[in-house]
Amino acid sequence: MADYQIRRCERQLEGGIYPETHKALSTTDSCVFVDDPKRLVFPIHFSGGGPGEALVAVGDTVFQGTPIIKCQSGITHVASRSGKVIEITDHAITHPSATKSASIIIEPNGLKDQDYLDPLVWPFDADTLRNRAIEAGILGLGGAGFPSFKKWSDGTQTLIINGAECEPYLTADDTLMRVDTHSMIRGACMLSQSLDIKTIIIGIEDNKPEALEAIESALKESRSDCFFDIVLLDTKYPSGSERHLVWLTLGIEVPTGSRAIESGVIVHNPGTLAALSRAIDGKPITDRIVTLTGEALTAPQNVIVPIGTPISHLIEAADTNPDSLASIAIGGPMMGYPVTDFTAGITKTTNCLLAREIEVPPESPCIRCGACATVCPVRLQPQQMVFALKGGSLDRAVHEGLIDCIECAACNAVCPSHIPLAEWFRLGRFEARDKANDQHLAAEARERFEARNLRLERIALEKEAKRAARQAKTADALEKARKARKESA
Amino acid sequence: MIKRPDYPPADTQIVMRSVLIALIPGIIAMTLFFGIGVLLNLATAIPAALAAEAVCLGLRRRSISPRLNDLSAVLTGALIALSLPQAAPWWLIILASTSSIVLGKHLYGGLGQNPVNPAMLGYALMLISAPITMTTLWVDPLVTPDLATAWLAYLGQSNDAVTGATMLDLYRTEFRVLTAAEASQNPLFTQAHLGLIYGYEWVALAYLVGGLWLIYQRVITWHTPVGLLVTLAVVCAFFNFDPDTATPVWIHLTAGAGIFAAFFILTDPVSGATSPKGRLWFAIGVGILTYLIRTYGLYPDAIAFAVLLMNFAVPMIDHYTRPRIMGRSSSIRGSGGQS
Amino acid sequence: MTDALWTIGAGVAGLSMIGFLGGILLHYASKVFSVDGNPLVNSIDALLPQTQCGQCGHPGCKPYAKAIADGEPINRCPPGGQETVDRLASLLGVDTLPLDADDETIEQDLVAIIIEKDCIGCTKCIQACPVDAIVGAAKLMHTVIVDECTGCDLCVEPCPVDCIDMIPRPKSPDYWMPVRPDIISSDRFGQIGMQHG
Repeated sequence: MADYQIRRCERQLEGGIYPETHKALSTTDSCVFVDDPKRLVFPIHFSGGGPGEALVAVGDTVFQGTPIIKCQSGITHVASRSGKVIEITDHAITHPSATKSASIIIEPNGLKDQDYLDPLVWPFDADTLRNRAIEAGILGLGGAGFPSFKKWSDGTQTLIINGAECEPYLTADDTLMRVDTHSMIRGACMLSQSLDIKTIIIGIEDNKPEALEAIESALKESRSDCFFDIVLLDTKYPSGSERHLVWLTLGIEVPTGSRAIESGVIVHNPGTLAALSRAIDGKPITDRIVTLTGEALTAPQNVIVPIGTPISHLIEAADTNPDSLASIAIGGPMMGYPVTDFTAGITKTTNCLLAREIEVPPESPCIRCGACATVCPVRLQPQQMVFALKGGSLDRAVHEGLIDCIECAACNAVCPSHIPLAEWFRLGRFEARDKANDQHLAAEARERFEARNLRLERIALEKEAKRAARQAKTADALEKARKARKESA
Repeated sequence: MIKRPDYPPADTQIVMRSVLIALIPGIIAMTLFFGIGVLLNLATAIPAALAAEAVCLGLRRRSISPRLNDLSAVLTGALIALSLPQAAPWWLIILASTSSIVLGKHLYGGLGQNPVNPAMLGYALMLISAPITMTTLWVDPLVTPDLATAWLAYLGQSNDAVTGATMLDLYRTEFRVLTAAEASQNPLFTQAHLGLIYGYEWVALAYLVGGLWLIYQRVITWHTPVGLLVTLAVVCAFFNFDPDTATPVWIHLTAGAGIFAAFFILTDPVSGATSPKGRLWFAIGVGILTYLIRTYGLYPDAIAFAVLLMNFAVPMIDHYTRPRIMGRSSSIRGSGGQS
Repeated sequence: MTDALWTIGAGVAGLSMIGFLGGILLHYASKVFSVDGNPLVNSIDALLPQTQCGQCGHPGCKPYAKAIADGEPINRCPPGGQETVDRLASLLGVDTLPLDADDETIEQDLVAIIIEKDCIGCTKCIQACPVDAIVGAAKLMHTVIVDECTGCDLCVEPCPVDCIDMIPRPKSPDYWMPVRPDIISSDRFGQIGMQHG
């Protein structure tokens, strides 16, 4: 058995909130596959891993596991079912931008044809694993969709499995930790051993005793020699934020503007590690667990879903008529975003469909009560930032710490004026990113301009010198000729 | 036992309502000791504030009902009513209340935009414009006026038998020429109500109860009241080496608007500092200024001026009291260049 | 008498000492805190957009920064837009001015693109580019490094075969920008009910 310990987290999350969790709604003991949908939608640029290009053409037949999209980061997305590419066109996507984007549409044929990779055989080095993660399309399944292989630097000391799942309503990670425990543990061990990581921390909120039990029994059966440090966290939002989980479990504050990996810590969602375990066996990501929940659904549950399945198909799987819903939140009530076009297909980062009717009271002016500041887990002053942003002063908001905002929306939840603070901050962060990019380009342009001026100056000087040398030479020659003439005369 | 909420109330209207509820013990105590004039003040100032709010919103072409429903104007009216002398004539109350709303709030853009405390602005304005009325019409808690007297005072015919200056004013002017022992012979001190001397202390106690309830409900934090009261007490005690000339600490804390201001005036979130540390500094500043103005200033009612002065210091306080952001080595200072 | 002399002597000596020490301090301060170049020109240059387009009448942003430091009007930079004028005004502590530009030249983020089939490889655009954003060699096709192009327009005119176009700067296909919350505040998500109220 693998060595492990269970301890209660000795640190307290500063700020944060205790929302009603609503987790019981979708919690089920089992997790079943949904029936294959009639079509699968794969956005070419918004599947995670950056903008991509299609590897297939209309009319091509694909198998389950056939690469269909290659992203700029290298990440390859595969077809989740065998079938035929019937269209490549602009299609609604599951993305906060709510735009249409170029997508590959596949019609599944119901066959079990598979196009898998060769299994990796232990021992393998980190580079082999990185390549496998790229080929198998492994990216953060928790919601951010960051390409996992980019986190795997040599010299990392700790791997943290983020089993906090602090977002209300969500139970996808909880379910995965119960039903796919062995894959998760195996993925974590393989990754740790290839990167030479000694300690694996599992951060888990104390409202998931069943998952904890499953992990314990899996660890008892495991033959790994990794040490597992299981940290029980208070059920408080947002303890599952990467930065906060690192601080809660290790006491390390990840410096502003850097990622956890730069502090020597890898944080992975349990699903990502389970997917990695399967990728080592040759199976790319084709399915994921999605929580179907919310009071507006007849049968809330967790299901295993092929990537690309249209949202409407999943609403039907929860015994609900999609036409009865105006909009659905992707990713939970706190950080989720609304999608209204249910033909959009789920992506690897879609962890939850939340259907419920909420009435948001109308916004009223900020009274600077500071409630947002008391719940802000990074100790920002949201009231000051939103004042600056509404007044059009991005610089001021950035000075207040806009880039440190994790967009957890705890401030939204307590604002007595019902101001959509987190949405303002998201917009501000995007604008700040663009602006920083512009400034970076301007700085480079300045450098090149100055380098060019120096070069032109140098060339001019060289030309001048050459001209002077040439003149001197001519004068010299003339002088000699004159002398010679004199002598001869 | 009601569970203490985890967060402040989730709606502006509930915030305002909680503060109004918390004022009730103080209102009851004041009515008992200072007579029906207190209620007349309230009954005049609140409708006047609401009317002024509605007119301003209309002129500014804003929707009227959401802003009237959030009770912020009611609260401003109530606070100014409780701050004014209990035997004040009706015109003074209306003037104070409407100028609080119009000059203190809407000229700057309405709810959430006022740089200074509206109620204190209205109060200070009256103090400057009508100094005699504002300083001599305080009801003597030993001779609580009856209904008829209060009504006459409301109509503008005050009765010298029941009104006078405030305790603090008395101490500044009259008690200074006496020794501490002589001053304490004044009936104000010798006649006790239910064990507590002079009605001011009962009123202060009532406001304290309401204020503590607000802290319990997380409508306000402890920083502001503690900052003000502790500063006032410490500064007074520090300068109180000669009991014959100085006003005692106890009088400073309870006789004036000390407790009322600590829990209900300084805690106005819009014009106050916004971080807990900032609130503490804000309250400390008000405490020091209050003592200085009470002791050396022209007006006895120091808190209004102290609050207004500190309101203008709020942007600076906010710039220097931000907490350290997670992941940064030090807290951000200053305003960050141009706005 | 001698006492007085002593006093005067000590005073003179003391003051001289202070002056001497102060001189040493200033000398070191000027060494330690010295700034390369004119700091004002550098801070002005930092606010300019670095397009090096020359629309201000100067051959690049740095020369215009020098000119501003010498008193030239601050509103001659169309690529920077009104925002840059305002920032310059704030930096220099002067009143802001309206931007001196035609409406259509304001706030258009353009880049040059070479129609490659028409390019004859004359290298004239390469010489014109102030930021070395065009690559190519004589008699060979040239191309614009889009990420490095500042959209200054200076390569268009020298081209003898008119094969350079200015197009809007292409964005990454996964580029997006959230909607302003005051436009969508009526149907937003992200609010969770609290136990009270």
